[in-house]
Amino acid sequence: MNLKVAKEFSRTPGPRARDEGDFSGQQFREECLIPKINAAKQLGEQLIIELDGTAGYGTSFLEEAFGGLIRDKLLTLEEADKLLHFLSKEEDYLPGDIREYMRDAAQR
Amino acid sequence: MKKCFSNRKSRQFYERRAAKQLKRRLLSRERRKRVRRVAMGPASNALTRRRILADRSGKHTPVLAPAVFSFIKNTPEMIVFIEKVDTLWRKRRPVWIILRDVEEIDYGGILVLLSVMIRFKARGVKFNGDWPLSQVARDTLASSGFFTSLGLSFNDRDHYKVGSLKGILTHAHRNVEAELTDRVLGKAAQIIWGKPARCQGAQRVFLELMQNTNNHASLAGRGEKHWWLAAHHDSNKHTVSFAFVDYGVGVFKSLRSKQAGDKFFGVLEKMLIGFRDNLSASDADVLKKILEGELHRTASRKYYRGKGLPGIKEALDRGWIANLHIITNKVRADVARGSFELMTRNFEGTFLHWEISTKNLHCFDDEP
Repeated sequence: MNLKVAKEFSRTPGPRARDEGDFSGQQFREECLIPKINAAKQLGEQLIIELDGTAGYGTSFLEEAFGGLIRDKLLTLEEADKLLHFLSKEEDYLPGDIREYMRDAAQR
Repeated sequence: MKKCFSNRKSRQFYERRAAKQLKRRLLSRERRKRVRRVAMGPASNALTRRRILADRSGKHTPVLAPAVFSFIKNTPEMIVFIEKVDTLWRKRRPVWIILRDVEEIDYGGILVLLSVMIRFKARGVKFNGDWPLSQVARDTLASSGFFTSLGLSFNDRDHYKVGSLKGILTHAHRNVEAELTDRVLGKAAQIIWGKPARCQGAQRVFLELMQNTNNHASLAGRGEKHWWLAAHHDSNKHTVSFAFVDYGVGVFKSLRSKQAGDKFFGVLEKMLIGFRDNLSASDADVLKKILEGELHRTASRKYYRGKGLPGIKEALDRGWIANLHIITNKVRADVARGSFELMTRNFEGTFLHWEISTKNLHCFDDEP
């Protein structure tokens, strides 16, 4: 199962929280990411998240979107490592950054 | 009595007396000159200048703008200027900006001037001034929309927009406006590469700065302060320059104001302790460490890859942006050159400048 952020959420990912501006990481997690994760779990498939095609990501957006999954105990770190696969050719450092945010969220 | 110069003792007596008399005469002359000057009053050209200023400024308080009106090239005088104007803004006193002596002005300076003007007008405080005598400075200022906006009224709004793409375009908001900065970068791409392109690293710089202003610029709470952004398009050099400013409290005052329970509480003191080999370590040294990610490492014992201000440094290192300058509180940094210096003056806010040109990374939308 695929999730293309630029097409299925927004070409312009925004801030961390909803009250800080449009297309926030919180909004992405709640409206886009969690439903997709649940669907992927039901089908027993991996969720491939394509990060390319956007105007660019703020670090707070990524940390809130993916670190928030761990913080809110929607997924454990092990589940996230197995279930979520990140793709980015335009910014190849993004998958590593996101995994770092999730690992840090798990340790808090 | 006839003076006797025949012996040495007499000669010495007369020489000493003459020296004392000369000294007394000179002092007396200076004293009489001072009395005469006070009696005559100031010189005529000084009187004329004072009268002109009083006639034009009326009840406005005159504030002299520095001759080099550039935050990067003339930081100390610009900080003094901003402090004076900010004091008048807080006291709601009408201001008269004396621009006649300005010889050089860049878009960073224009951003400061525009933001000051709009803040005054939004508060209902009178703002006026004269024009630079220098034609170059006047034309640069005119291209920013400054003179057009001088005649407009501004309410206290969440966002402002001044100027045009042909010169200098200025935006101001309180929230994080990713769509706006995407459009700004899209227009920049047309100037630089002649067609639409995405600059993800540059967009990250905008997002980090807007997020920082929204979250940390005001001690009173989030979303209180505007951020101001100016873009200058140079189609000859295929370069777009950006200036960003917020009149919050600055990075260091914000960190020092964190309360117990906040993850950054006491973190600056911990970072300064870490400079064991450098007893004279200052905020300038600390800013360098902050940009390298040490703030989060010190606060959480975990290196936060590229989060916040380090994300901006990474965008520079990866080649998304160039020529990054930062001015906040008492620190001025030319990050690209690795120069971090401590100033004597304090700027209550955060100012950044950077550029994008054909040398920087980008993605065309038509690429497979």
